[in-house]
Amino acid sequence: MNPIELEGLTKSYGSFKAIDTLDLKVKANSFTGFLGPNGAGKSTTIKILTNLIRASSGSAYLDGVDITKDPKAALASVGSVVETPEFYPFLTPRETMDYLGSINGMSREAIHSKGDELLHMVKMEEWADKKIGKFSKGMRQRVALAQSLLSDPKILILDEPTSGLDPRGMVEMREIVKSLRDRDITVFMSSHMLNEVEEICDRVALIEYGKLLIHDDVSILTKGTDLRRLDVRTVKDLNKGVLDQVTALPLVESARLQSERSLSIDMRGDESDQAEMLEKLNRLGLKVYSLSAEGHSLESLYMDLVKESR
Amino acid sequence: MSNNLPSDFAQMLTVTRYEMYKFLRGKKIYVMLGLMALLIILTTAIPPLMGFDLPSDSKDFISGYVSWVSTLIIIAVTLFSAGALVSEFEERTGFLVFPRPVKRSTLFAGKYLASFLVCAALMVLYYLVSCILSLVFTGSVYFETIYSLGLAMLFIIGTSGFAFFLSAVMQKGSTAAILVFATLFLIMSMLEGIMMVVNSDPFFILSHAGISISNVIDQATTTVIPIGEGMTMTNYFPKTDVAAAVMVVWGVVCSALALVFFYRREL
Repeated sequence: MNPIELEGLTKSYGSFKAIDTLDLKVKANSFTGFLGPNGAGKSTTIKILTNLIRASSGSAYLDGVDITKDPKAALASVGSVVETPEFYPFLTPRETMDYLGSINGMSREAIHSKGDELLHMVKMEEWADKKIGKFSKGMRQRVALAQSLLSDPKILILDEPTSGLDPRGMVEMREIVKSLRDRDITVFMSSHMLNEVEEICDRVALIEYGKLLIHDDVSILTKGTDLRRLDVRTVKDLNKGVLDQVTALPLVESARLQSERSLSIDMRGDESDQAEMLEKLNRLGLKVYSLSAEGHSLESLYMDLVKESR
Repeated sequence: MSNNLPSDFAQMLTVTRYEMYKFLRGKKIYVMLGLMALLIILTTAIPPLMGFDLPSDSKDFISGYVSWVSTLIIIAVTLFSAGALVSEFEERTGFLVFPRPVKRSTLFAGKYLASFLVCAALMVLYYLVSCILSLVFTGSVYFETIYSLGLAMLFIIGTSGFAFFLSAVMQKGSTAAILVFATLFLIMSMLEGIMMVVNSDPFFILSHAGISISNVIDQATTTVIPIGEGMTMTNYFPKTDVAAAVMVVWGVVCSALALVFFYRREL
């Protein structure tokens, strides 16, 4: 059985269905990004998987145990960070690890060694004996990630893991999650940041209106779309005339001025078409000094699928 | 590791231990200790200051101290029980604990036990100091005091159950605390008074049952009091066994309801 399996999972609030007979099978040891627009049902699904809310019907299996029937057993092999959890302010990170590890049945020695290792991993070892009440959101998020890995879970569920962090915190958090690839662990994470999902995850599940739209490898999904967005920075000032010339170029779908010396181009094609585009832009006299197309393939796929479903 | 989950009982003790940390590291425990010290000092010092002798009889002596117990319990329960459940939702600590492999009923039991233990320990301390003072000033301790302590424990069970119920249904800890205190201290007392005026025995009211804590020592009996124009009111005093049963029923029923609401509540 897959580490996470949803079968006909439904959550209703009156006549509104936040999740509508959702079926999903998450492969073992995959890093799956769980995507969808606001209100699609991502958080609801994650909250059911972490025993924060109850499903109206259907099943959600975690490591083969249905959480709707036996949450305690189902959560035995799960670590999670849902939103930015608040900690008991009167406890230190080390004491928090003691508390949560004891609930999981870990020995005192195991909690201490594993807890120290994880606090070191999230760069919180210097704060291990300080009360959490005074910690910043970023620090709490780090401790949250550390506690989620305390019992060596087979499944890690993350809900917007970098939400609210500063850019440096985001990068560090992503690096930590990516470093888990060495472990025997399945990661299931929701995020609004498509570049983050593309960077961390090897699979993507996209839902809207509580239903699964697509679920596959990122590489397979992004192969099907040749639309890419280029962020172009120029030395020369840009104007409407130049923009019209750019829009008229072959393969260009659309172009927009971002500022006096930058524009955004949506184009079809592969890496070699992108290289040719650079030459064409310079032939127009733009003097391009920077051109990037990061993360757009997943974004375009996302936009296409969401548009189609509406 | 993940397959060796502790029993529900072991997890409950873990929850209790950390709830106790919360109480012991917070300010509320000092508020209670200060209040208890103040009442003991006032009860001991006021008669001599007003020119009266302290009672020489151990029964009369301890009665003065025990008369504060139900009020102290209501304050303790307001401080330690009213926020126990609602805080997990209001302060969002539930995001940390609920996804752990632990049943909500286990969390509930651990929290209830911790609240009971801290309130019970405070009351035992209060009785202990009162008894030591009785020994010092009268040379003996009135034996029935132990029954009063037993009833105080039952009153903690009843009032904690009520506080946990409000904690399970309220959105804010402060609202739950205000309601617990207002209901136990004011609303129930008003109902009690109204029922006495219409000569009805308010035996089922929790705060009325709490009177038994001091009455087991004072031994006052129900009396009919004329209130003019041929009308009477009845000053009811609870029978000890009935009061004990009422306190247990309040505790059990309210706790069961609290557990249902806590179990069903979503974050």
